[in-house]
Amino acid sequence: MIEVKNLVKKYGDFKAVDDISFNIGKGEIVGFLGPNGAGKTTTIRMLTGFSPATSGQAYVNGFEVFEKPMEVKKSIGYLPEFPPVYPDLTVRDYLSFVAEIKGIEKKLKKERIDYVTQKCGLSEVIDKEISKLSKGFKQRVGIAQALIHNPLILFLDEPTSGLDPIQIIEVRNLIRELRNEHTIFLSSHILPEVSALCDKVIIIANGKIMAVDTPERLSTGMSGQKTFTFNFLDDISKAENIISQFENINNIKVVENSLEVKVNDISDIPLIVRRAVENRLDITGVIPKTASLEEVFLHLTTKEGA
Amino acid sequence: MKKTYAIFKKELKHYFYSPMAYIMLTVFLFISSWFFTGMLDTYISLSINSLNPYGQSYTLSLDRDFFGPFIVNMAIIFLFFMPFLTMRVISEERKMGTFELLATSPLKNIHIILGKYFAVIFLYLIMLLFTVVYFLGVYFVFPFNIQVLLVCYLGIFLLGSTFLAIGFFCSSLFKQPIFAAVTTFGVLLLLWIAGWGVLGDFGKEISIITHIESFTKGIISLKDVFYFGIVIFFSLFSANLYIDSIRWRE
Repeated sequence: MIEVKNLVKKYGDFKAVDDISFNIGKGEIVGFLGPNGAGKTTTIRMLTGFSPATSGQAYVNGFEVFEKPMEVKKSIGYLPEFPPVYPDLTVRDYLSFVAEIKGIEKKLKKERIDYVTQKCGLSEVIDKEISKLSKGFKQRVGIAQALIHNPLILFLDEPTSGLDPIQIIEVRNLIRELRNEHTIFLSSHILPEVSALCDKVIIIANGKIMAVDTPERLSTGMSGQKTFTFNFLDDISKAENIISQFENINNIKVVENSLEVKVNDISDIPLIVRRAVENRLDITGVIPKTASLEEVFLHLTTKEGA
Repeated sequence: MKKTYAIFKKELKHYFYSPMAYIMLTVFLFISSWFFTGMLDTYISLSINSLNPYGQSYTLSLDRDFFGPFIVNMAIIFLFFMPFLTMRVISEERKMGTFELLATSPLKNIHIILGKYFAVIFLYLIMLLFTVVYFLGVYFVFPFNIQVLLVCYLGIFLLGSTFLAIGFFCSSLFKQPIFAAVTTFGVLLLLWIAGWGVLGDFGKEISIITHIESFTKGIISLKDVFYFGIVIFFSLFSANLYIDSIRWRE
């Protein structure tokens, strides 16, 4: 669906996007993750045909973005970082306008407006002026706008930024509902969001791609699933004393009243448990520790400077 | 065509859903009718003078002494009005981020530009149409040859459309509508006064107001029609190029 090859975008001498390549398959929901200013919006703007790349190719739905921009634009829906709405129009007028410029047939227009209104939960505000809507509703209008021509691919640039927690949950649920029908490319700097929604994560920093993987693999890959947190009823220093005598332990430290133990092999864990029980320690929990995406993210984006 | 029409409709909604169109129309009609009655008054006193056998001998003509000057007067009003009519046309799309919607929709620049340009022309035609009522009033009292007046209207229509095209280009240059308005006003004023003094005949050729003179005399001069046509085309074409360049930079 989306194929990017050696894409570069320069502003003067500044490389906003520096030689990135990736592939996104049909029906995938992909998170594009990076700190502010990493080049996320610039990349999306190139893929949507808004601004041309300095060099490299991008194919969207099989069409080269720069050579066949009209074909590309017909097959995408795009929600920019700020919903592109006209505050003085009503939601109905606005959606009708977008339907017309996207080239929807007149007979289908009403049907499509009804569909996106229902899908995005806009029925109660359909005849209201957009300027009178809350930020959450404006965002939904923005998503409705991107959906109206039933595009194969959706580009969502920071779809939950600036929303309150309830609105965030609503928008995420909406995106989840859309995942079956569209290929979704979603940018965000919010890590839990990406791990909650996406099949695949592309991490970008300073215009370069740092990693492409599933959220789970990125987390486990970091820790190798070899760090475990032990909780005890007993005094933590006593437990530390006993467990640290075990020879196969790589690293051991006390973190907030529990013990974090790193082993070379996962088969060591039952041995540690047995040893603990033999020493009359009361274990209340053994939890494999996966690195949070935050850690992955920090690890990947800071190793450059380190 | 359908897409141009979609843009056209949307633009008119902006003008008529907001107070903008109504304020413009009210203020314009107030000022233009003020001028009209004033000039009618002057014309009447002139005609009384001309009837006086001891006064100056002077042949009055409705065209020369009334229609023509009134049309030039309207041009002055439009010099102040047009910058406000066009200031937001492109700049507001950029300011509100809706330019991104237009630029990522299957639209060509020409759809956007013509749709928007026709919308301001439409609004301008409504303004002109209202002033026809003034002349109808005169016509009922004193029927006159309508042809000269029609040519006068063609002249002011072309002149106003040229103002609007220049304003359109200026609006594409800025993200803030107010900058566009000030620039438009500056450019129009410069083009107006270019015919005064230092530049001599060349100045008269490029000046925007000298090209309406023949129309006010009831003559359609192809040279003047070409002048307006070329300025309109050049302005809209430059706007097109500038809109493309925005996409390269952003």
